[in-house]
Amino acid sequence: MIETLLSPIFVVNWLNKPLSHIYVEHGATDYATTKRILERFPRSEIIFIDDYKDFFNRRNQNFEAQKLSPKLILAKKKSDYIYDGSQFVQEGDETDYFYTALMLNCLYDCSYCYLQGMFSSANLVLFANLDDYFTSVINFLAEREDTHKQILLSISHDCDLLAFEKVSGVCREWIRFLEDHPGFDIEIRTKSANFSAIQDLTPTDRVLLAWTLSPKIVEERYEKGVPCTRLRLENALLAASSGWPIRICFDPVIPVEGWREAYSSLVEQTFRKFPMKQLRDVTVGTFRMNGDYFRRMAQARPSEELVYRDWENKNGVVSHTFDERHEINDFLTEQLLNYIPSEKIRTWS
Amino acid sequence: MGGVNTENTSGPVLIVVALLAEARPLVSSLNLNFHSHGEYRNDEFTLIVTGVGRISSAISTTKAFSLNDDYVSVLNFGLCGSRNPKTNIGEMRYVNRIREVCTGRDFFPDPLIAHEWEESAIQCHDQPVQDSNVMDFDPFAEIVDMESAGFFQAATLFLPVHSIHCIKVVSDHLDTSRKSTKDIEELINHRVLEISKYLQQICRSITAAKPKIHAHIQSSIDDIAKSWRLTKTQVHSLHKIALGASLRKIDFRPIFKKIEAENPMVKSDRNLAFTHLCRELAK
Ligand code: SF4
Repeated sequence: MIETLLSPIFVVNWLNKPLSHIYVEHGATDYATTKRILERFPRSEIIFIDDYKDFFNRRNQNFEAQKLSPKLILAKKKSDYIYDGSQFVQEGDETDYFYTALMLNCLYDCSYCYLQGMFSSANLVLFANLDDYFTSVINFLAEREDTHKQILLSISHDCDLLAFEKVSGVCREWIRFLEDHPGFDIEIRTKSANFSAIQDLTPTDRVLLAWTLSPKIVEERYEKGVPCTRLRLENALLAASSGWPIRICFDPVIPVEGWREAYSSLVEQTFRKFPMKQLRDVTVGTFRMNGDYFRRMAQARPSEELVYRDWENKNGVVSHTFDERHEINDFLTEQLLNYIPSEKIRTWS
Repeated sequence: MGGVNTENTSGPVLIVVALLAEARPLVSSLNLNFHSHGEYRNDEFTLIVTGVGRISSAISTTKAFSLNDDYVSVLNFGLCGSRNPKTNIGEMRYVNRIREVCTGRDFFPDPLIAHEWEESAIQCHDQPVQDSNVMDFDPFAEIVDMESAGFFQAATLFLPVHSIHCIKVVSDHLDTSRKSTKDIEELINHRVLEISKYLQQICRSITAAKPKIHAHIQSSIDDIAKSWRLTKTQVHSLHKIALGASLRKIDFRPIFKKIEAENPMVKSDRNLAFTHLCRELAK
């Protein structure tokens, strides 16, 4: 079943299928999410473990090899449920941005993804104790002093949660939790074509669904296992026309040969028929990564062309030079202004 | 004219067994010859006999890797006991978790390569186990041996975990009465075909080899570096960008042809030419 979520080239026949093995922490066995997933994968090998870190943080793992046959770890998160927003996101001053790590790692394999520098393992960790996250949100909201700013909580940080929704059902649980708990919104960012997994829920303004889109050449070269942009866009359009607020992300914009034509036609293709009432905003960003993560990614993925580019490493951030970033952002902004007002465009520079 | 080589590679596999009786069926079916340092070898496989116990296994595995660091995979193969009376003698088990009983630590092979056997966790004891109550130390581990934990810890010093494999044949239900050499060989002989098939799978590397620039492109880069008197840092950057360009399979010919016509004499011109070249290759 998991293969249907991935593009076919991603499954190599002499290797075990993705999720062939599920590692379950002793402390996570009783959660509903754990039980549901184990029922869904009756043929997977179940291995009980004391602590997910014993398996996830082992020495001498090979990220690239594990990406070809990722395993699932069901664990219990014990602390640190909510984190302060990342320096790499494009939120405006009117919003307080936080994120929560419900899952570590992703089913997909994008060449530019920071996760390959952040974790030594490509296996997927899903934290099953959702109620502890919910309690922590309730406490967080109660203790907050600055109540003027809107809170946006990203629940798909360090993963693509919607891509995994048919397995985990976690997005659905959060959307339900939100109904009874005002005071914050959530963002679910994805490259999946999996809107159908939550399509039956009543749309709400408090859930921002964000799709990242890339031109064909970028998608084919740098986004392994990811549904094609045409499908992603169809999903975004469907969600918008069903009444969900939508964010579109062109992030990272990768300057490949002919990138101007490629991105300009992607912008046109995206907004030609987009129901603008549902468009919350558009984010634009260039490639950027924490310098330590980049160094580790270069070691873990020696066959990735992106690690050989002449990036600038400034203040611990690997990215394009200032001029290059501005050239890219300005070009994209110019294209976007043909369709949407400037206050809806957010860039990272 | 892309210039990079990222072919998947294959290489020799190290097979680690504890007893000579466990080794003999493999030595004969794989056509291995006795070699120096107690190793049995052919071009594809090296087999070592470590003796019984964790420490012996760890020491011999380490020694084999220090004699040859080319191995793409390593397999620990041998007999084990099972606490489950329903498990048939002669059944195979792929080990997916190893518990070292004396420390309580767990070690995990990475089961990426498909196989045809049932899987199990194993307990690695320092003494033969004949009392099934002793196995309650780890209720989730069905089988028991005396080498796996030592072998695994030694092997992880040399290979990534997905290249370390541990396969066991159930020889008893915690009955440690001595087995004859003939009985052991017979048990293993029944499984030799399956093991050989698996060995063919694990001798290929899962990931692509580290990319290298083809020699003719390297030599063009060397020529440019020499005639433009590039600094070490510039040569390093150029090499890196050229490798990326190779991975994108760009055609180097028109770029190098254009350069042949250039002959920057002063340092500022050379630096400018270098920047242009990098930009061309980065496109
Ligand atoms: S979809 Fe996002 S999280 Fe997943 S691999 Fe790509 S960049 Fe990383």
